[in-house]
Amino acid sequence: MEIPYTIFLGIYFLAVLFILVYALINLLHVMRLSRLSNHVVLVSFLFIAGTLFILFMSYHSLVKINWQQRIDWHSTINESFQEFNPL
Amino acid sequence: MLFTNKLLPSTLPNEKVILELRRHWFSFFRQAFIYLILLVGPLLAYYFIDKFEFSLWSHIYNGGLAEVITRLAISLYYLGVWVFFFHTWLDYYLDVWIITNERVLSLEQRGVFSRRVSELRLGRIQDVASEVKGMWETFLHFGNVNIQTAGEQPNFLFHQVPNPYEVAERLMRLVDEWNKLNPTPKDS
Repeated sequence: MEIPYTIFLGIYFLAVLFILVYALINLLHVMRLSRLSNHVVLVSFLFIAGTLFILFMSYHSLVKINWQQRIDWHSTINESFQEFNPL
Repeated sequence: MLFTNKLLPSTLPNEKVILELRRHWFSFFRQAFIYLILLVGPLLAYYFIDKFEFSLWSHIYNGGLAEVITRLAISLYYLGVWVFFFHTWLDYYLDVWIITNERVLSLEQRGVFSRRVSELRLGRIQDVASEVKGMWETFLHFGNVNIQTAGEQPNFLFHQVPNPYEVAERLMRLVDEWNKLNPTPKDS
């Protein structure tokens, strides 16, 4: 059975979407429940900048991978088993 | 509406804000320190492993499945830790205790989808106790203020606020002033 690498990318994107929705909810809480001040603006700015930085570094890291590759699941399991089985 | 400029959810006639309290910055720092370790720790580990030329990276970064999963996992790890770090600050910043000349308000953020707003009129306050417990609390002058209420209403607790002795003293003076201005009628 061959599994494309893009499946892992799809799962990754779902997880990123979940985390970003959570981040957005937190930002909305800041905007709705706090008073506008330099402190709030600075922290919110740093958070957004940090998130964008992490997303940029992730893109930079993941763009090097050839996502068209496929993995043969059965042979991978057999090879892993042979590697760990000394007999 | 974004960024409410109101401190109080609602205002009573002739009400003035006397004190606005948040938890001492050190209580946030204690939690933030753990997140800083989670963010910086893997980078330091990578640096030292790379410096000693362990063969770990050649096993992982060989273009195979291990490399793909490692890169995806690291990305999710850092994104998750960063967002939860921000949530920790949010939880610290949105916990506010407000003392006015009429009442005491407690606005507490409990998680993402839960916020509790409690109010206590000064006339219902029976006793105020302050406590500083711990090494850092003693050096940095922060602690708890416990407000004992009349009747069945649960006590108010100001958790890890700066200068708790002064806050308790100020609050008791406010209660005394309020009682002088609003004397309880004697039973005939």
